[in-house]
Amino acid sequence: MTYILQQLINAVQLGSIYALIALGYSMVYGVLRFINFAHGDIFMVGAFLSYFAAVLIKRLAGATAIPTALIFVGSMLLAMLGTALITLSIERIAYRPLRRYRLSVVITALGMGVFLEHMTLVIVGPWRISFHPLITETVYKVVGVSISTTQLVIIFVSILLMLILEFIVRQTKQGMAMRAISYDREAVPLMGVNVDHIITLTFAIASCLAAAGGLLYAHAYPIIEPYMGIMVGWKAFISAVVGGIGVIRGAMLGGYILGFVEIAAGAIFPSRMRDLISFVVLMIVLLAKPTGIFGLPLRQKV
Amino acid sequence: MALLHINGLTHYFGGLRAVYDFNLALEEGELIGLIGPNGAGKTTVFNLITGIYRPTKGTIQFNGQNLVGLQPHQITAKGICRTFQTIRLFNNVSVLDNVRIAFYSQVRSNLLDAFFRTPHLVSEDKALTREAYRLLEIFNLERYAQELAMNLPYGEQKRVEIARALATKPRLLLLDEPAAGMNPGEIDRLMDLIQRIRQEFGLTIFLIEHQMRLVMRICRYIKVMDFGETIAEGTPEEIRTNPRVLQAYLGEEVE
Repeated sequence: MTYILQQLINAVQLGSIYALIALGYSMVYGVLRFINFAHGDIFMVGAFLSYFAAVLIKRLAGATAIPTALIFVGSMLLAMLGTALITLSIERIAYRPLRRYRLSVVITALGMGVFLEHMTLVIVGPWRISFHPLITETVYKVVGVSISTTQLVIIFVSILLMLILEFIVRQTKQGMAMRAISYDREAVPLMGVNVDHIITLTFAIASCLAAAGGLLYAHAYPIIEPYMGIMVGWKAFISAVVGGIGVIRGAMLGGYILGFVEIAAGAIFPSRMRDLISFVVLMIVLLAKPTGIFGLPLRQKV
Repeated sequence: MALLHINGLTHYFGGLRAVYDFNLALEEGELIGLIGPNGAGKTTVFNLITGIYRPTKGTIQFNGQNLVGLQPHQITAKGICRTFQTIRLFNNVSVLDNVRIAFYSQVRSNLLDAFFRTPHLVSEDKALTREAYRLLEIFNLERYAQELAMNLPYGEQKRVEIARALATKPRLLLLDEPAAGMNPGEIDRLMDLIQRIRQEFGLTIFLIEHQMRLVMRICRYIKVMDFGETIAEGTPEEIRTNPRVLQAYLGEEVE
């Protein structure tokens, strides 16, 4: 029982991170019907920028001691800002001119991913950097289950960000426009909405979530390297599809499902079979429900 | 000076001539109709006016300002709005939100206002919701406000589309086959409604229609298109008896 609870906490922690990244795939798909294959690498860039932001903040602070919580929040915000700027430049230079050419823009996205990996490689070198945690670790024991501050922070920050996202999508005019665009992109401009602004905002939000995901991931698995975004990106993408791509709650649910499946597979089977098992399970989910759990069947054009 | 002034409008899709030398001077407050067989290029004219397509040739001026080359959302902001031949409501949001989204360019509050729920946002939000309800009432739709658009009967959905178009505060309303799929009783009510909103909102209306009964009754001036060309224009009476129109609609006589 304790063992199961322990694994559940691990699953929620991992699932939260997948959910944050999956949201980016799903939101961009919602407004553009386009899979941003560079998104996993944006996550990686987010992890590196958090690392450098933390170093920068510590250096600027010098001898003055500042609370780690402040460094944590500060690096997260700086990383969000940085990744958003990079993502928006990519969107402007590589995606927008090709928006009407659906296959080409997917290829450019893959290319941008490779570009980001190798730019990072050139800038930081081929070493695996160990990420110094910005959370003072305390382990609590609750009914025999140990839960660490890191796990609590990861879960709390992810849920907080998802709530903020829900608020933007449900309660603001931009969010309303996002939902409308995901339904009918041609009709929205005729309502006086500048679709380019909404697309820019969507990419910005997606990259902020990825940056936060990068920082949190680096706390759970404190080694960062330029290729770390590939596998995590694929998994988050699959989460988004399993939940129903284009549907925000679908991406959240999909992220947690993948987290649970992966931890369960790792707990039951030898750990080298973990990815194999979890991908098979996801294939089965998709075969049973090809549009994903919350996905709507394809709309018929009348 | 006409409110909408179109001169020599021509549009090609590759080698296909969809609209050829279309001219129009639409005065403020007028209601005119555009008719023609399927594929005559009527909807293309609407798509050119609203900026969905950029014309191959010709000029479009609204209120003395050039529209060619502007983005659709900029044209909407200038005061032109339209409905669609097949209903294009946002089915995944409520009827009320369908109307509220059309207030988009009138909303002044920004994202920060939304986060902190500033008094400005709250009062603006209230005012716009009230305004949206007022529009729904005119169309007798207020009881559907919270319903998802997709759950409404067809005729009601068509009315929501017009209400949504009015929410952008247009001076010129383009209606693309508003009566399509309606029965005679519904068409009569629609005609009254069109007349009523035209007076109440001081609208200029340009409409495409297949239902002759509607066009002939409410439009004082009609243009007829066939294969992209304007083949006739005039009062309903003139159109009814025009041999070229009859030919276009009934087919050519075999000699």
